[in-house]
Amino acid sequence: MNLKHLLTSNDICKIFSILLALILISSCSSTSKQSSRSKSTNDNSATQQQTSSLSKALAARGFYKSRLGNINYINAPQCANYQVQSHRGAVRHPENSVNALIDALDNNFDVVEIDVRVTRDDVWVVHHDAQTGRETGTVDNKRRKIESLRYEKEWGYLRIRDQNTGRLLSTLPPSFRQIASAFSRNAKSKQLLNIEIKTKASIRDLEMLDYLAFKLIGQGRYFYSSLTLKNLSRMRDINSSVFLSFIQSPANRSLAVLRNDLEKGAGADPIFLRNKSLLEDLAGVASRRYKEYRYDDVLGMAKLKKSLKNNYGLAMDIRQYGQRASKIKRLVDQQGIPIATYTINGQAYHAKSLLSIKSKSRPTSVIIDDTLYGFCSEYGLPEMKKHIAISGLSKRLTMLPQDLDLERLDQINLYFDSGLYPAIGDQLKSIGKRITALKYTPVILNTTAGKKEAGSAVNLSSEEAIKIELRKGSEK
Amino acid sequence: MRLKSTFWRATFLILSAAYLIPEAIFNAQLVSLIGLGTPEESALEQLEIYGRAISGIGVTLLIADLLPAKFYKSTSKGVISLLILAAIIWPTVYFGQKALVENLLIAPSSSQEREYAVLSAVFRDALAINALEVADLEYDAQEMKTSENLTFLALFGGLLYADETLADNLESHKKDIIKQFVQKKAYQDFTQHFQDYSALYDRLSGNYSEYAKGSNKYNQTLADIPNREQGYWKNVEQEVNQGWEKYQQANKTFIARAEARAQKYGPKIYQYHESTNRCSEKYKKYSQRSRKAKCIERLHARYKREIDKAGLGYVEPSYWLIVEDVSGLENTANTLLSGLLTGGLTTVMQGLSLATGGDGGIKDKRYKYTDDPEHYQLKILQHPNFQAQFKSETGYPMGIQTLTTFRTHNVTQQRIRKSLTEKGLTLSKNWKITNRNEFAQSVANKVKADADKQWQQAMKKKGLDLPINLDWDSFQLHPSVQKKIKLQMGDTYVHNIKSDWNQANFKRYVLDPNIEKRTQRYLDMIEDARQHFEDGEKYAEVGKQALRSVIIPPISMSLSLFLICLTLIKLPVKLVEVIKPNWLEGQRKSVTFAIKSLPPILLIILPVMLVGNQFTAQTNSPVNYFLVKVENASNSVFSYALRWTLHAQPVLHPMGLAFENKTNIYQNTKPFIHVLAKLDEQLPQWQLSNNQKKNMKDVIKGITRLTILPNVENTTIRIMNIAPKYQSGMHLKPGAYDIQVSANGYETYREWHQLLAGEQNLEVILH
Repeated sequence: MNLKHLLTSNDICKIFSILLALILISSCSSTSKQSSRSKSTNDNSATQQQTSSLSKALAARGFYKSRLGNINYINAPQCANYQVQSHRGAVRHPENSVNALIDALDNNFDVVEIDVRVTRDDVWVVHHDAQTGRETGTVDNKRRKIESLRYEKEWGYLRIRDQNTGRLLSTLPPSFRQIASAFSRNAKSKQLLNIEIKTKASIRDLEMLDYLAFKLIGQGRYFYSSLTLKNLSRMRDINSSVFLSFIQSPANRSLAVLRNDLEKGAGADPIFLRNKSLLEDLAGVASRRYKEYRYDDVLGMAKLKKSLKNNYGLAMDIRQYGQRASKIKRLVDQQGIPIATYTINGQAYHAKSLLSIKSKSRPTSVIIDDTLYGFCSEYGLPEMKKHIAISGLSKRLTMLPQDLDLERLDQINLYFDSGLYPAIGDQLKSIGKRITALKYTPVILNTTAGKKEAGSAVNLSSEEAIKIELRKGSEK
Repeated sequence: MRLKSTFWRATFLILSAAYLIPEAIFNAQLVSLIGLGTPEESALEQLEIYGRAISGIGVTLLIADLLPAKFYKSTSKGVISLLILAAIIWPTVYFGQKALVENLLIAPSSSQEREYAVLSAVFRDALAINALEVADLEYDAQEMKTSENLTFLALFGGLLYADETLADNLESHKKDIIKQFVQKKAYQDFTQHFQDYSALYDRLSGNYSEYAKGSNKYNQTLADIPNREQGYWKNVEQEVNQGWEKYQQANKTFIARAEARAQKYGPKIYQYHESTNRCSEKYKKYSQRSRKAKCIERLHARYKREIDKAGLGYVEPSYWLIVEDVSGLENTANTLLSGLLTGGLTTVMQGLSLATGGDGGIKDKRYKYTDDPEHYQLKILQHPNFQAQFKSETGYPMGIQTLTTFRTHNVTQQRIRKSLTEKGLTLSKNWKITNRNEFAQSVANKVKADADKQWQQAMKKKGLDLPINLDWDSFQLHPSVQKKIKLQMGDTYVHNIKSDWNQANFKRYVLDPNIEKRTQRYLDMIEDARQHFEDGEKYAEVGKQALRSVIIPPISMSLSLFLICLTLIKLPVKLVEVIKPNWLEGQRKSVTFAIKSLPPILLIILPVMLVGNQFTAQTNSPVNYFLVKVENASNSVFSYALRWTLHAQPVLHPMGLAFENKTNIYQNTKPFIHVLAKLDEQLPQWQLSNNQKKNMKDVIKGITRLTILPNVENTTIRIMNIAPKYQSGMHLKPGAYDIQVSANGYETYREWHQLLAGEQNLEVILH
C-alpha cells in the first residue's frame, strides 16, 4: 500500500501546521533559555558556594567528599593499622563491576578484591557466581554457566544486575582485561588488586591470567587469592614472586548461620545474598557433608609453606580467627605471614568481631563489605578543627559532634530540628539542646532539719503541798 | 517425842539460817519499792514472784521441820521426804498465795473498794512525793528513804484503804491533791521526760532528711522532663529509622524474590505464548478449530501447573501480555509494524484472544509478549497477590520512596502510637509524628504520673501522706506527721507538737498540758465513776491493780516479817537442840510449852512495846486513827499485825538491804523470775475459759490476734501498712496498723490503730 494513499490533503495540512508550531516553540524556548541564563548562572554560583562551604565544614572534620561522592579521610585513616580490602569492589555499586572497582579506588581502599573465572573459550572474566542469575542476568532470560559459555558468542547476553533494584543494567559484566585496564588507569600508587581465582584453572589459563595482570597492571600491583590451594601452587610455579593469599574455607557454623538466615529470609540483606552461592560452591555443603579444613595450625602452616613456598598469606573466617585470635596471630607472626579475615555472615558481624579482638591480636588485613569510612570510623576519628559556617547544612555540620555519620548527611536536616543527629553505628543521638517549651523550676529543700531551739532554763517549782486532815471531822 | 538425828537437826538449822537471807532481802526490797509509791509494773512483778517463791521455800522448811523423826530415819529417806514435801508445799504456797489474794480479795472486790484503792494509792504516792501533807503526821518527805518512812508508806495505802469515809473526808481536796501530785511527779522526772521528748527530734530530723531528699529527687525528675522527652523522642525516631531500614531491606528481598521468579517463570510463560501462537498458526482452518482448542487447552493446563508453583495463586496468561492502545484505523498496519520494530516483542495471535475469551479489545488494543526478564519481574512486582504478601510481611504498601514519606506514613504513626502506649505514653488518635508538642506533653504527664506514683508508694511505705516541698516547720506540723507522732507518743501527744522546742517550750506546750490531762483523768476515774470500776468496765483493771498495790504490801510485809522473826527466834532453840538434843528432857510439859512459846510471844509483844515509831508516838496521830479504823473494819488481830509491822519492820529493813548489797541475790534472780512468771500463768487457767487461756498465751508470746467486726456484710478489709492480706483472727505483732474497711454504698473507713498483744476485736461502723 502506498503511503500517499493513506494520507489525505487534509492530513498533510495538519502535519505542516504541527511542524510550524514546533518551530515556533523551539524559537521561543531558545529565547527563554537566553533570558533564564543569567538566573541559572546565579543558581549555579549559589550551589557552588554551598558546595564549597560544605567542603570546608567537612575538611574541618578531617574529611573531604570525593568526586564520586565518597567520604574520604584527608589524612591516613585511623583504622587500627588494618590493610582494608574492598570485597568485590565498592558496596555502592553492583559487585565485580568496573564502577565498583573505580568507586573502591576512589574511596582509597588499600586493596580491591575481585573474582575471576575462565570461560570455555579461555577468556578470563570477572564473575563471582558459577552461573548467571543473581549477580548478573541475561537479556534472553536464560541461565548460563560461566565456565561453559563462549565469550565471543554469548558474553553479549549477560548484563550486570543492580542488587538493590534487581534490575538488569545496560552494562555487560567486565572481562578481566577490562577490569585490569580500569585498575591500571584509576589506582593510586599503593593500591593493590586482589584477584580471587574461582575456577579450578589449568596451567595454561593461569599463565594467561598472570600474563594479562603483569602486562596491564604491572608486577607488585596485584596478588592472587583462592579457596583452591592447587590454583595458588600452580600460580607459584608460574610467578615465583607474586603474593598469594590462600582462603581457608568458612567455618561450619558460619555456613549454618548463612543457611539459616537465607531460609528465614533475613537474606534480605544483599550482602548476605552475595554469599548465597558459597553454599553451592563449597563441596558437600548441600549434602551437609562439608568438612572444615584448617590451615591455621602448625601442620596447616607447613602445608601452605610446602605448596606456596614464599610470599604468601592466609585469609580466614573471622569466626574461626576470633575464637583463638592471640594463638593464631602468634603462629602467623612466627611464620612471618600476613593474615586476613572475612565473613559470610554480614559486615555487622565482621565489624563487631574485629572490635572485640585485642589490638595486638588483630589480623593484618580485613576484607570488608562496607565503605572505608563506615568501617574505620568505629576505630577513631580525626580531631575536629574549629570552623565557622554561616548558614545551611555546613553550619549544622560544624555544630554537630564528632560521631556524626557523614554518610548520612542527607538525614541531618530531617532530624536537626528535633534535636537529633545521625551518628556512627546506625544510631540517632541527641544534640543536647532543649527542644520543647516545657519548663519546671525545681524546689530544692535543705535536707538537714532545722536546728533545735537553744536550751533554756525552766521553772519547775510547784505549789506548797496540800495540807489535809485525815481524821474524820477534825480537818485543820 | 523422838528427835531427828543430829545430822538432820543440824541441816534444818543451817537451812533455816540460810533461808533467812533471801527472805530478809525480799522484805527489804518490798519496803524499799512500795515505800516510794506505786512501782513500775515490771518491778512489781519481780517483787511479787520472788516473794512468793521465797515464802514457798520458807513454809516448806517450816513444815519439813515439823515432820516426825521417822521421815528422816536415813539420809536418803530424809532427802526423799524433803523433796516430796517441797513438791507439794512449794507450789501450794507459791500458787496459793496468788489464788487466795486474787480469789478472796481482788476478784470479789466491789467497784467502791476499787475506787478507794485508786484513791488510796494516789494519796500514798502524793505523800511520797510531798504533794500532800497530813496534819500531825510526822512523815518527812525529805528523808523518805529512811526505813521508818519507807515502812510507813508501804503500809499507808492499806491504812487509807481501810477508811471507808476517806472519800467523803477528802472530797474538797481531791482535785488539788491529784493536780499537785501529778505535777510534782512530772517535774520530778522532768529531765527524763525532756530526754524522751528529745528522741522525737532525733527521729523526726532523720525522717525529714529522708523526706527532703525524696522531695528533691521528685523535683529533679520533673525538672529533667525536657531531657526525658528528648530521650523518648530519640527512641521514636530511632525506631522509625530502623523501621525504614527494615522496609528498604524488605523491598530488596521482594525485588529479589520477583527477580528469581521472573528468571524461573519468565521463560516458561514466554514458551507458553510461543506454543499457543504455534497452535493458532498450525490449526488455522475453521475445520481445525476443535484441534486448535485442544492444543491450546493442553498448553494452558501445563501453564496452570507451572504458574501455581510461583506462589501468586493462579494468574491469567493475559496478565503477562504487554497491552498498547492503538487507533482502530491503524490497528492492523501498526501491529505488523511494531512486531517488526520491537524485535523481542511478539504480537499475540488472535487465537490467543479467542482462547482467553472474546475478541473485544483486539480492535483497539495491541497485545504482545516478550522474553524480557525485566518485564516479568515488573509484572510480578505489580501483581496484587505479591503486593499483598509484601503488605502482610511489612505492614506497609510497596513503593515508599523516601524516609520522609515513610516517617509520616499512617502505618508508621499507628506503630509509634502502639509502641508508646506500651511504654505508658498516651497520645490522641489523630497524633502524628509532626506534632512534637502533644508528644512532649504526654511525656511530661507520664513522668509526672510516675514520679507521683513513686512518691505515693514511698509515702505509703512510711505510713505517711505528705505533699512535696515541705520545709522543716511545715513538715513537723503536717497532719500526717502529727498523726504519726501521736501514735508514737500515745496519751502524751499534744496538738501541733514540734520536736525542736527547748526545755521551757517543752514544759509549756507538752508537759503542763499533759499534767492537766493526767489530773483530769485521775479525777474522771475517781469522780462519779464508780460504775466504771465494775468488772468488764474501763477502770476495772486499774482498780484491781490499785487494790493489789495497797493491800498486798501490808499483807506480804507482815507475813514475811513474821516468818523471818519466827525463824530467827527459833534459831537459838534449834542450835541448843543440835548440841544438846534432850535439854528439855525431864521438864514438865507446861514448862516445856512455856519455854517453847515464850519466844513467839515475846516476838509479838516486844517490838510494839520497845521499838519506838514516829507515826504512832502520839495517841491521836492519823496513823493511830487509821489503825482504829482497821480494827473496826476487820479485827483487832489485823490491826495489831499492822501496828507490829510498823514497829518491827524498820528494825529489820537495814539487815535485808545489807544482805542484798553483799549477795545481790535479788538482782541475780531477775532472769529466772520471768520464767516463774510464765509458770504463774498456769494458775488463773483454772478459772479461765478456753478463749481466755488462748488470749493469755498470746499475751505472753507477744502476739496480737486481730478480728475486725464491721457492721455490714461484704466488706473489703485491708491493712494498708503490711503486705499480708487480712484474715479474721490473723496473727500480728503488737503495734500500729493502718486499717481500711470498705463496702459498696458506704463511706470507706480508714484509721490507724495501736494494737496490743492478745485477742483484739475491732468493731468498725461504716456509715
